[in-house]
Amino acid sequence: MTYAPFDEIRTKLEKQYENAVFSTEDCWDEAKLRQVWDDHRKANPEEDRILSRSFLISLILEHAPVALETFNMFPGKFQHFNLLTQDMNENGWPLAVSKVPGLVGGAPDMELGIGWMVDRSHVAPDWFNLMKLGLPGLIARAEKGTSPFHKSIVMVYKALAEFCRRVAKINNNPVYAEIAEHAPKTLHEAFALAYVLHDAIEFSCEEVRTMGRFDEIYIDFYRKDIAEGRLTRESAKELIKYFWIAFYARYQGKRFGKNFCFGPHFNELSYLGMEVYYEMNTVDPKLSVLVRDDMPQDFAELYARCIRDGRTAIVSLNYDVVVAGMIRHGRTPEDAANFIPIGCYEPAVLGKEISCSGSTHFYLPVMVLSVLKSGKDYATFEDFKVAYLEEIRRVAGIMRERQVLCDLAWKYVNPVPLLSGTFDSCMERGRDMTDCGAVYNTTGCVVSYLADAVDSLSAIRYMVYEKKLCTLAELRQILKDNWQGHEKLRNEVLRQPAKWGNNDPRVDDLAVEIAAFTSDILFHLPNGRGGYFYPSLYGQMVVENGKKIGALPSGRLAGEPASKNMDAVIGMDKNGITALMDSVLKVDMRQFPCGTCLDIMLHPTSVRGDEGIGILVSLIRTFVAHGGSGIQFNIFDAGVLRDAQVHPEKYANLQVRVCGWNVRFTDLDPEAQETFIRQAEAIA
Amino acid sequence: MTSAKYIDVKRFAVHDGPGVRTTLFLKGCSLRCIWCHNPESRPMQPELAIHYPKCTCCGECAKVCSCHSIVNGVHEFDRAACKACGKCESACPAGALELFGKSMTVDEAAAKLLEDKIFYEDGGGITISGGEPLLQSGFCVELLKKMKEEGIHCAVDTCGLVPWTAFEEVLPYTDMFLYDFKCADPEKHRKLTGSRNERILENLKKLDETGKEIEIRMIMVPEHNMAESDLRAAGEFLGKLKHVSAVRLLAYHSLARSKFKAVGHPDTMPDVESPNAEALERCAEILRSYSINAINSLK
Repeated sequence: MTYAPFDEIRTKLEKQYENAVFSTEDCWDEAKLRQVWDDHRKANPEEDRILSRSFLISLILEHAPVALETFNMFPGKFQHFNLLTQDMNENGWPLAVSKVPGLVGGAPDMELGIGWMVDRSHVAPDWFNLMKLGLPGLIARAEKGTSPFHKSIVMVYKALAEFCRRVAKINNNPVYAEIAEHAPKTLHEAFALAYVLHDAIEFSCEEVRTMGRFDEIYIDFYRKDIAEGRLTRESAKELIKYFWIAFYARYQGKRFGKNFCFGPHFNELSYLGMEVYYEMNTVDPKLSVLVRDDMPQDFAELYARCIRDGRTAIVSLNYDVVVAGMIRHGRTPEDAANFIPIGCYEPAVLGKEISCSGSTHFYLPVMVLSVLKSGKDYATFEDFKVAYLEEIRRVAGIMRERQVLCDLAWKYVNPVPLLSGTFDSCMERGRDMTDCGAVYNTTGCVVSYLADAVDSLSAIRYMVYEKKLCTLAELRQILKDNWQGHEKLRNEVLRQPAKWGNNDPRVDDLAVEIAAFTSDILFHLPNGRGGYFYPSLYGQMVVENGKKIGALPSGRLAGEPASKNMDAVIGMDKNGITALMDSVLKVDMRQFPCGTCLDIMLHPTSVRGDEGIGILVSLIRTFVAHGGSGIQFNIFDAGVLRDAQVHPEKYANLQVRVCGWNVRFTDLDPEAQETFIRQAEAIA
Repeated sequence: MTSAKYIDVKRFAVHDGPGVRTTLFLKGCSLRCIWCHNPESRPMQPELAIHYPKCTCCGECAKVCSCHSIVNGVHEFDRAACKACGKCESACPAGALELFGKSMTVDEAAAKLLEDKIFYEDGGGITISGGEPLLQSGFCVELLKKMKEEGIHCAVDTCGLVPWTAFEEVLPYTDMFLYDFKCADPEKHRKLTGSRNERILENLKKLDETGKEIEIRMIMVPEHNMAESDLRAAGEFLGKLKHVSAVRLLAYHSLARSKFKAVGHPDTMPDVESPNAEALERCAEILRSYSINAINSLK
């Protein structure tokens, strides 16, 4: 089959979901699907949750309408009529509530400063097993077992194979016919298989957060295709573009981005992929690069060029530090070496770990407020700090109690046979990954807003204990007043006490102590799935959550955005990015194996020309060489951002790194735009 | 311990030599360029800057020093009476007062520069700039020695108008010189910078003979030194030098205008637009015809 050049058909491909046209042949309509599903439910009221879920998944894959998209190298859309989400909400959740007494969900508790949930958004299949076994291999392996779990696996993969046959037939696409019958043999088949499994899992309500190590998974297919003349370097680029744009098309660059990982074993596909990434200039997919000190300089320059020129949806992760942290948290060295970032920055062992990295959140500045609100007096700053650390311990315990129930609930809410079937351990144990089937069943805890917390402690030390400008009781009132009527003191607090991000030991030492203390508690906190809490150190949703956090001793007003990731409070890192990095590098990142990240914002003039690429590479290498973990960039001129607010039509390609994902600047709401502009003005 | 008057330490300086650097700006300059981008660096003696846009007229400064007064909501300052004691700077809650020309010992400077040592390892280093740093060459020598002991790449950014002996002092400890070149014609030079340039050019020739790496830096100011004849004269001179690795063309901008007001110097900044990349490229092309590696900093 021949396909149009990518650049000619890009717009159409970008709308492949929105404008999908579904065939009416060989399929059932919504009413019939619903009828069959209802009949099944009625006939099997006591059916195992995973079996009933698998029945529904299979029903849709085998009988739902399939899209006509002969123009697309990667067809494979089906109409699901929201049945899968409906089943989770109407059957899964009530079942979980009945099985797990005391289960509480909902919004984070901002009085305590914690969040917890059934995290259905951080999973990834074992991509290597998928490629090695293919659907028939996965089916054959599952047929050896007899449990409801094994039956479910057989059911869903047979349905997925049937789905591939239907897509092949309707779209006259032999590639899909091939992957129904055997493991993939070509790059096109491999991509197609990854794509259909990805979408099937996502529509069954779990987010596949990474497509794995792109260069490592696909290199053999690529080499074979090149050697046997099926592909040229140029046609491979077209194939990759068709593949990647499907992930953009799904959410139009308005969600968290689909991760593709590069390195640490770079090969010719790493270079080709990065070239494609530059040419595509898209907010989604997003990339992670696993960096070691032996990363080839020309590859480093290739991706630094992407960053310099606004393709900033790239996070660099320090491979050695991540591996060391994972070992410290209980992985074997062999397993740790096989990590992939499942989420923005969150490493988990491929095919062996389900880390639910977004399960719990721990908002550090809120505990400062809790100690203040307790009304107790503390004679020294040291006493205050000890009380703060004790509050962290207390709240961590409450967080655990609530999360354990969520951990237990997951298997009722949404078992995921499509994913579990790729995990060796799930198959050996006969357990779904939502039911402790993985080798490592960890529960992520995102420790957030470090800068707000330590700047607040530093301010308390300055105001209450060193300069005696106010008492704790007076500070309570000041914060209640949201600093109104205390402008002079606020001005001083914003300027005088030491602030995180300036390489100032007075406050950096506090940060290091809090980080170590919190990490230690979480490392030893058992979850509800037979594993432990798995701490990360970064802060996201800074605008949304900032609205729920009251005025802080640091001088921050109630409702202002919280501090992002490991960054300084906006405008408080007055000594430039190297000082910020010096501060950050004092924290032992191995204490936060579930990921950390530092954002660096640079003015375009700092990274102009080839010399600018050198500067970026130098920053990344220095950060990695000295124990940093995750680092990502925004390259901004405040004036350009202002202009983009007024003339969005001129800036369709202006990307911003939000937290661990990119969006178009013009898609941000005005409040979030303002936050970026303030930060850009601070560096100007 | 030798100390120096300084105005600033800039970390992550990426325009003052190769790689990621920290630049120490010393106070005192032997030129008075009309377009000066750092007017607070010109006199050697300390001086107070008032950043008027930041001033809230709260009057805290007036409480600690009689040089300040708030009259009818306007901040007035008796500069002639100011002893540059710095008390007002600490008292100002808005950060509107800044004392330039504080003293720093060699050890203090070294500690500051070494904070970012890890960033210098990948092709970066430190730069001493100004003002004219070689007016305080004794300090420079001691500081550079310490930096070399740490294995750090050292650059000195000079306007060249100092006794040759100052160069001789720092030469053994300097890896690279950033050397300003304003214009070739001595009389025009005097009009633009307050001094003729014979000694500057003489020092440059001598420096070239030492074999040290030199990067020439030319601030391009429309209507002042960007005529073809200016560039040809510059090319004529610079093209004969042997150890100039590059001639970097920098664009004039008037962002420093507010600093003239802040430190109470008469504003001499030319009222011209900043040149764009194309304008610099035309200049670069002329220089390239003299076999010069001309770099357009806007590209």
